[in-house]
Amino acid sequence: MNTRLQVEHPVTERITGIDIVYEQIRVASGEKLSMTQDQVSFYGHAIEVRINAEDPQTFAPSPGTITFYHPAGGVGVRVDSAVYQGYKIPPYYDSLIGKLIVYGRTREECLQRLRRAVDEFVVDGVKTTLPLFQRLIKEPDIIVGNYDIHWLEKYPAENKV
Amino acid sequence: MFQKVLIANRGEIALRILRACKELGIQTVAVHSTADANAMHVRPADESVCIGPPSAKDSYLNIPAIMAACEITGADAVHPGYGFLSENARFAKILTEHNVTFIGPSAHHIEIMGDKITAKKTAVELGIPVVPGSAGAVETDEEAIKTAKEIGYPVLIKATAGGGGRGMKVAKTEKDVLEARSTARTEAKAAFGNDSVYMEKYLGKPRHIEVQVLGDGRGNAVHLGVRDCSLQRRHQKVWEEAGGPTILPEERDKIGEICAAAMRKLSYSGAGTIEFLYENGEFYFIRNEHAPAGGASGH
Repeated sequence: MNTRLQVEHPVTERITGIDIVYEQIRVASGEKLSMTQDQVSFYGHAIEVRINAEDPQTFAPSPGTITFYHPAGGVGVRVDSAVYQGYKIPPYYDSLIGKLIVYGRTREECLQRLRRAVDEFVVDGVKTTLPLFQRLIKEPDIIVGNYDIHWLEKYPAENKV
Repeated sequence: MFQKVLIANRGEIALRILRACKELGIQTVAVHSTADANAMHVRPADESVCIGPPSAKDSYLNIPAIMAACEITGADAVHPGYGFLSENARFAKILTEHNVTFIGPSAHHIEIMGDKITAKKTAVELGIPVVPGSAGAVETDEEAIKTAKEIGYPVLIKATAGGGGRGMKVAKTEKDVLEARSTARTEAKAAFGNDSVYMEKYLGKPRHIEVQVLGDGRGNAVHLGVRDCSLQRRHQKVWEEAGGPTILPEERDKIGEICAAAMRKLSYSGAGTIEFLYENGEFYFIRNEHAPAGGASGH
C-alpha cells in the first residue's frame, strides 16, 4: 500500500469531482472527510499521460532548456505542470515535465480528446515522451484496452505505426 | 484548519498542493534547492526558503533543513507530496514531536505498509486478497507438490533471498515442479549463497489495478474507485486510466468496498493507494517494490 498522494491522482479527481489534496489537508487538520461512500459517484472516463523529458524510444533522460512551451487546452483537458518557456530542466531530479489529463463521457470520447490534446501539446528544446503517446493512441490494443503490465515493455521502440 | 502549510516537495506536485492551499485560504511556504530558485513551485508561494544544494539528499531529503524552515516560517503543517520524504516514518515522527502536523497517515501506518512482510501480513488480517503462496520456505519436494496443488498452476518458485529474476522458475504442471524447484535452488545458491525457495501463484498477464482510498483517522473511510496503471516502462507508470478499460462497475465497487472496510478497521488517515495485480477477475495485493527509496521523486 502506498501511504501518500500518487502522481496519477488527477484521473480519480476527474471522474469523481473530489479534490484529493483538499481532503488530505482537511483530515490532517482534524476534520471529517467531506463525503460518505454513498456520496461518491463516478462519471465518465479519464486518462493521464506522463510527459517526461526523455527520449521517447530509449527513455534516456533529456534535460535542457524548454525553448517553446504550449500546453494543450480546451474542453476536458487538465495539465498539471510546473514548467514554462525558458525553463531549464535541472538534471538532478525526475524528468517529469507535466501530466496531461483528459476526460470524456466515454472511453472513446476520452481517447479522441487525448489524440487531439497530445497533437496540440508543444514542448521544444528537449526530447519528450509525446511522440510515444502519438503512436500508442493509434495502437489497436490500446484503443480496445487490451494490455497488461508487460505490454509496453514488449512494444517495439520504432517502426510500428 | 491550518494557518500555514510548508510544501516539502518541488515541481508539479508542489504547485498542485499550493493550489489547494490557496483555495482553502492557507498561507504557503515553498522550499527549494539552489537549482530550483526560479522554479514555478516557488514563485506563487507566500514565502520560500532555500534548503540546500541541488542534490536531493542535501535539500528535499534533508530533514534538519526542512525542520529549520518550519521553525523560521512558523508553518503548522507540512505536506510532503509524493516521493522524497512522503513515506518516511521518521520524518512524520519528528514533525509530530515538534508540534507540526504531517499531512499524511500516522508514522505507524507508514511503517507497516512500507515493509514488504508486515504490509502483506496486515493486508491478510484486513481481508485484502493477496497472491496465494507458501507460508514460508518450501523445504521438501513433497511439500512443493502439495503447495502447488493448493495454489493452483501455474506456480512461481522464487528464491527467498532473491531479486532480479534470478532463482525464479515457473512450473506449469506437477511434472515441472520438481525440476523447477531444483533449478531455482541451484540458481539461488549461486546468486545469493542461499538455496531457500518459496512458492506463489504465477500471474502471466496481469493488469495493474489500484484502489484510491481516503480515511479520517477516526474509523471513517471511503474508496474513490480504481485506476488501471498497466502501461509501465521500467516499473514507471506512463499512462493511467480511471476507471480502467476492463474493470466493471460491480468489480470496482466490490474491491473498493473491501479496501474501504480495511481502512476503517485500521483507522487510516489521509490518502492512500492499494495496488493489485488483476487476472481472470481476481485481485491480488502487491507491495510496490519500486517505492522511492529516496533520491528522485517516486511514482
